[in-house]
Amino acid sequence: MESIFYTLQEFITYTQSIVYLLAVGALVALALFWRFLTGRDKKKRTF
Amino acid sequence: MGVTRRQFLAGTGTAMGNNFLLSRHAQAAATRHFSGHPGSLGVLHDISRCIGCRKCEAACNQVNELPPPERPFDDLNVLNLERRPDAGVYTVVNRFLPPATALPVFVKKQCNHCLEPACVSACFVKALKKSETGAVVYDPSLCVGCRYCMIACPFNIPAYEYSDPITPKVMKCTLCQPRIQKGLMPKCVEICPKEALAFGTREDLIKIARQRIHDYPGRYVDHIYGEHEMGGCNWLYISNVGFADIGMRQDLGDISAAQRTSGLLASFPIVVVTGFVFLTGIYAISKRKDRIVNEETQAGAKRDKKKAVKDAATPARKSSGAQTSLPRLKNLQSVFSPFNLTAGIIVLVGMILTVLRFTGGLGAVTRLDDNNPWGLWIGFDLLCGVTLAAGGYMTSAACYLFGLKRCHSAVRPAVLTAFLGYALVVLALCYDVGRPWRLPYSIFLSQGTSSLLFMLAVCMFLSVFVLAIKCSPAAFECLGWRKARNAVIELTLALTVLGIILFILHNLTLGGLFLIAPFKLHPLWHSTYLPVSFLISSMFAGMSMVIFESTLAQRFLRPKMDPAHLSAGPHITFGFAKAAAWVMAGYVMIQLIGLAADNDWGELISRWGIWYLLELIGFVALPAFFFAVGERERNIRLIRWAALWTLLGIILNRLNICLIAFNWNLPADQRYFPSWMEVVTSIFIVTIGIIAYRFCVARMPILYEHPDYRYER
Repeated sequence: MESIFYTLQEFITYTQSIVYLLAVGALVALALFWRFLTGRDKKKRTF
Repeated sequence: MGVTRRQFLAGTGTAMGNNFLLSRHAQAAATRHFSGHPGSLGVLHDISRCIGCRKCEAACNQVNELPPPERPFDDLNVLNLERRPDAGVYTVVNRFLPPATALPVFVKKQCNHCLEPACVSACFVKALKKSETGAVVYDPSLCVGCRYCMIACPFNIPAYEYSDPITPKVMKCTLCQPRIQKGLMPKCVEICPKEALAFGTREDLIKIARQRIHDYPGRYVDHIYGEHEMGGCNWLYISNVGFADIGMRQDLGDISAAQRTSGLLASFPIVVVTGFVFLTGIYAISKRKDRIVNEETQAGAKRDKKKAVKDAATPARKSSGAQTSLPRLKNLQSVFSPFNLTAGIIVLVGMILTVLRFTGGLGAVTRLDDNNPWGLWIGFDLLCGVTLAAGGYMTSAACYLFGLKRCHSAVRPAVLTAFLGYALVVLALCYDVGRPWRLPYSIFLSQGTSSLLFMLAVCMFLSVFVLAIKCSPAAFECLGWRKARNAVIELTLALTVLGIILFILHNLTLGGLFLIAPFKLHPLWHSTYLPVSFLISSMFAGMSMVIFESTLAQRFLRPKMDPAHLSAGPHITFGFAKAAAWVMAGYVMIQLIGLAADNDWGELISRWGIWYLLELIGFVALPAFFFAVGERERNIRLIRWAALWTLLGIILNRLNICLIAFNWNLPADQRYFPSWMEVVTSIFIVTIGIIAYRFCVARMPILYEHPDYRYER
């Protein structure tokens, strides 16, 4: 259900709460993807 | 297909540029459809009808159970003074003698209950809220006492209980919200004998005001004050004289406070994500180069390691060389050394002031007032503390992300300084805010995400946490906790990247704090680019701090330094001098572009202009030039002096923004000047930092490598 906002301040409070959480989620996801991306680097060096 | 460093930088640069464009777009999109709560209530003040009887003041005092006034309400001589609401008075009536009329004009002053209140946008714990009735209401159970709402308010309305040490509150008109909820009108409106105040919905009040202006065109100025000012207010005014003649600001514009900060707020998540990608990308590129070098030197390192194992047979402390020999530590360990005596006296006085602060409130030790809610503890301890702590991030980034391994020996002292800097900022905040035990509320209880101060709190909390972890390997090495130490070392990259992102966000936020108050900060310092200026200036401040700190260490802590640290000092000094000069040149250019963007050239031809140019040329451009000359001529002495000069310039800049050029348009007798107790408390906090630094350096491998870990990562 879409929320109704009467002031910009209410709108920012609501959207920023979600956006900040998503940013934290994005950081975690990127960190995991980085591990996946570079996971074989050490193995390569053992050859 | 491989990606070169240049291609990578170009790509991410474009992405970051898009950030700002997108954030502006977000700002534009977000401001399109909001017009306040429908049917919200307000008051129309017809200034031409007011007779200055002060009955509204008396009624307000009674209904809000405020303390009795210093002079009784029937004493009309107080009207001769220009007053403002304070902690014991929610509303005042002031008398003006405008040139356009022979008769005095009376104006009631109180909270204007803006449609998009600056105080609500500023509050980082949602203690202030815009209610659907139209009133801006305050919840003292959440308030931390940071007083940012007072900084943000363009009308200078909120007041603070400076003399209350335990439960200080922000005080302001409530529009009689409890009475409104019972279906009654505000008491001041009810009591007004001349019907100078009218209560109703905002829409109706605007219609009434327009009707009166239309019906009596010679009597009223054709303007409804509050209809559009700061995005509109629920308290409206019509007047028979120009508003500028009765102390009401005409330069506030139509843009609300929320609009002023929404662009920066929108850019934060993008900065986080882009920053992460950018920094890890740099790391990947530098690591690739590094690997080639490592493979070439691996054989040599193995030989060294064998030799080290052989040396380990001798006691470890001795093997680390002269840096740990006890006789040379005499000065550090002497109880009655000049340093210890001076520090002891400062700490003693500081403790006394601490007791005064926490028993008598802020009013007992500071000269803060309702017009100047932020003083030296914010201007110096917070703003300068965070800025000067940048050295830790700069050095970590240089070493671990850009692969400048020569900086390795500077990382630990710089990170320790940064950690202590942040810890002391938190300590200073505990002195400055009204209820320091509520500081965690913003993160764990009530998140005011519309406030820049919320982001500042998050950055502060995470920075202390990240820097504490980054410092911990030194303590673990000292304790012999090898596994814990190695576990933290494994996190170095993640901590460095997270630290840099926090550093960027923190400085953007610090600069952004003042975007909400463009009417209070002098236009030369208030620039569209203020957040970016803060970020860039903190970069060269951090580098200068590392140079300065290295100079002090070489002079006073030499016995604790091993040959590697001693020999790395000049390399780091020259490297950072070159980088600082380059960044400072960029900073000067950004300042000039900022002047052009806001068309503030005319402001340069004034006393403030001379002061501004002194700061920009005298404390940025000149030291940048001396950094450059010092680097070219390999003159380390010149560089060290330039570093100190730069640090003084940064402190001057932060004090200018927070204190000196802030409230620049107030009369001289209403300006802020710190009390000696504020100055001594700041010195006390810095002294604690120096003592803590010496304590750590004397006991942990900060300025030397622990012999047991010399050949580990």
